Amino acid sequence: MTGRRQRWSGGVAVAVVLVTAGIWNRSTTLLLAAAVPLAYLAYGAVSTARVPEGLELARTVEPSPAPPGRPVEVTLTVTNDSGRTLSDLRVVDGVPANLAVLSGSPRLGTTLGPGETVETEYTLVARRGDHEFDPPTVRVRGTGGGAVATMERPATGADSVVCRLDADAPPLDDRGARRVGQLASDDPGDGVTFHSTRDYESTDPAARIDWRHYAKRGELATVNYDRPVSTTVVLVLDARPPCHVAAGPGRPTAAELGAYAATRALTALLRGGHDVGVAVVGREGDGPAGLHWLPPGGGREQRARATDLFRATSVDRDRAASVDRDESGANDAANGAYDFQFRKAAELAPARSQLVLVSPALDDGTVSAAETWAAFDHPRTLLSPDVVPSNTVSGRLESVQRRARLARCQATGARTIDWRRGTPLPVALEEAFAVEARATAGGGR
Amino acid sequence: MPFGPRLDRPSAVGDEGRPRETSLAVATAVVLAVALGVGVAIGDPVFFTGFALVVGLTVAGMALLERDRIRETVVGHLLFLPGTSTLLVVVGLSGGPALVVAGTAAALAGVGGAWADVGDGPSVKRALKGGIVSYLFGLVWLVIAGLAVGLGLGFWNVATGLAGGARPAWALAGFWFVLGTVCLCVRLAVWAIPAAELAPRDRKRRVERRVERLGRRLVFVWLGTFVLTWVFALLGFSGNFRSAGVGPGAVLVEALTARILIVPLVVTGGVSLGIALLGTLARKTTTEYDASTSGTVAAALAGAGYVGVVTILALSAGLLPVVAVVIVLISVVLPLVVFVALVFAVVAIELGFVPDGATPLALAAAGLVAVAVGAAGLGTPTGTGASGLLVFGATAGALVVWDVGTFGLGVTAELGHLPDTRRLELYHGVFAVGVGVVAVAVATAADAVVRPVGASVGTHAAMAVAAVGVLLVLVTLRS
Repeated sequence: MTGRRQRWSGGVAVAVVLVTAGIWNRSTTLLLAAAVPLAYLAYGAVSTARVPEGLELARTVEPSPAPPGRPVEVTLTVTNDSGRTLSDLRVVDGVPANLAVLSGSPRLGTTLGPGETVETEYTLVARRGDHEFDPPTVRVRGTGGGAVATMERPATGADSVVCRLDADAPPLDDRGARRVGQLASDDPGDGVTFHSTRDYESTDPAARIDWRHYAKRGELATVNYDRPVSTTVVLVLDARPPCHVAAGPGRPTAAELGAYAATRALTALLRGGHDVGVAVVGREGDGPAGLHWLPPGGGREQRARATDLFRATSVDRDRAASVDRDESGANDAANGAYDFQFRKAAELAPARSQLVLVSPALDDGTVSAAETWAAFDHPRTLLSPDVVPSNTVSGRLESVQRRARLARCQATGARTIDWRRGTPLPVALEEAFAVEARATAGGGR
Repeated sequence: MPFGPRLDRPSAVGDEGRPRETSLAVATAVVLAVALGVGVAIGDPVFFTGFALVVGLTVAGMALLERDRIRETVVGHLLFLPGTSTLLVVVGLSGGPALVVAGTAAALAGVGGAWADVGDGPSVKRALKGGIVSYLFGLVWLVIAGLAVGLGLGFWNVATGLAGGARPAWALAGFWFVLGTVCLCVRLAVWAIPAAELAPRDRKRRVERRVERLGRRLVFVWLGTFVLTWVFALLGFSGNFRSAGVGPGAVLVEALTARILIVPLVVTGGVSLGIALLGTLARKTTTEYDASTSGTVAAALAGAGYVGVVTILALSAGLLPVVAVVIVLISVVLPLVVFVALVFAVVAIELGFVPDGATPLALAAAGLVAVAVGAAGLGTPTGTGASGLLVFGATAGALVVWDVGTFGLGVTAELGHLPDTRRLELYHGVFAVGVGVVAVAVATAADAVVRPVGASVGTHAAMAVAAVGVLLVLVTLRS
């Protein structure tokens, strides 16, 4: 599409003023000056514009696929292979409508000589799903700025941002880590970490003989190692309506981040040889009390089933409200049903299993769940993704309230992990499970 | 940010924000070059520095008026209206050709407004409204300050003139009047101070009771003094209460009306009144203050500031009362001129005579055109035809300012403030300046050719034909 822009109405006005003043003052100088705008109008009128065929655009997206909430770097490269200088080139990349630009700009404007390349980099926040880019819009102007040509020119390379819950999860072996588990028991076993020594027995393998002990005392002794054990963990994903909020437009919702955290935790636990069960609260399911329920199990099939469940339950509701919202009219009946679902999840969990609640803690339902679970004899962990913006007054108030809820959950005996924005999830998970493992090691099977 | 912190706060792609800074830098350089050329033509190369600072302060004031915080808004008021008024005075007193000086000031103000992203319709309306409100508050404060000073002086004269035994009835009536007034002031202070609210919770009730009791007693005392004032005033009217000259009665009258007693009483009353005023203001601002009132409060504070500035100026000319009166009158009248100019600007914007987003650029270009028209009437100090060069240069400068300014606005609207567009803008700016240089050179050469035959060219018919021809070509090219 080509056209012309009228940029010189002001020039005509200047000429009229000067002509009038020249006639009034009988000044040839002013009359001559009235001709100066002619030069600019002519300069704008003679220029032409068209988007050359040799203008190449390429796009890269890194990383792809990405997990929800992960910054994704997009680089758009523009190369002028047309053999002529583009005095005024402007390019706007077609950012997917559902994604927000975190930093940088998908727009560039420059003068581009033959053979020159220019690139622009910007960062998007990944949300679950495949998000396709629109073709970049290219606009070229003539030297005077009057002639304009605009068109959409497809870019080579990546054409979408792919975001998956299990994007950065390591692959899972058929038999886990080929070990019984990763939690350390008080009882000695066949691990690799030194535990103690005991008298040698004739059936002990030679590799476990403590030769130093023999050299010092002349007696055979056998080395005991820590015995890795496994346990059962039930992941409870909070997908109630209050969790379908985001820190801002184009950002992943708390439910999406929770599903991502649960997926990573699931993979880490399965790789450790633990059995993992899944319960999803807040979405109508066909399990007990309306839960989406997956009994504890292990292996790749269990992970596939659990991941499908997370994927299905973390999709956006009709709207993703802002976190600093005002929805004081909560549905008490629904809250009662959710409380019952939380209780049911604890009842369904096998004896001596751990409960891990993944919830943004945006309302008192999370605290209520923690208080309910305190009546059961399960170790409890709350992993809470933070989606509250801190740059608004209402966001700060919500942040204070959320921290108060986390403290209240902690007061019930639950271990709370605040997954702050900007902290890599693996770090938060490592902290969540490594310490908990020490506390429950004796309870492994 | 090569040009320091910015006064505007651009946020997004679209119509928001000022032109990109490289374009503005080119426009600024052109305006300064023309201003320098004007200075050379009138024999004072740096004449524009006499009002450039005032122009800058005025623009900064207009920009600060768009802020939300009350402190910045007050500073904006204190800079804008006094700055604009001062600019009128400075331009008027500069002694140079009026059109050229005014045009240069307008060009500087326009380019400054473009940097600060002020001068569009909403900001001009906001400046007009805020200026009028602060001006009215200034007048109100002026009246209140005059009344307060008058009343204070009168009260002081009454209080300090009580002494004297010749008219003891009047002296005692005055004493009771002063005491009653002081009681009223203290009662107001007790009412205004949030003593009970600030007291610890366990003593709150006790403090409330005490405050209530104290207030009641003060009212009773005031009633008593009111009665006594009238009693002694009536006695004074009747003339039955005369001084004995000696004795305990005379001593009592003399003691009650002694300055050592009256002056502390008056001071106590004044301090109490001040505390009552401050307490009431604090209460109002903490309980009834919201965003909608911040503009009014800022204007009120600025109005008080105007009174302070005018008072200082008037007092500084205290030895010449006529000058002080003139200062006050100018301070009252000049803002009205500013308001009239702003009203014209608002009307022009509303009617579409001036493009809303490019108003400051239009002002800068119009200023340079005014310089061109004014320079045509300048005598050439060296006789080398410098005024012709200035006319053409100012005209080309106006067009360059308009061209690069609107180009930079377009870049802002399409690409926002984040991408680096310096190369794009410089390329355009260099071409615009280059075209201007060529046009000025051609026009100057043509002027040199035409000037010897100026008499024949100067006929009305020839001029009309030339004018119509130029306009026809312009309109044709434009469309």
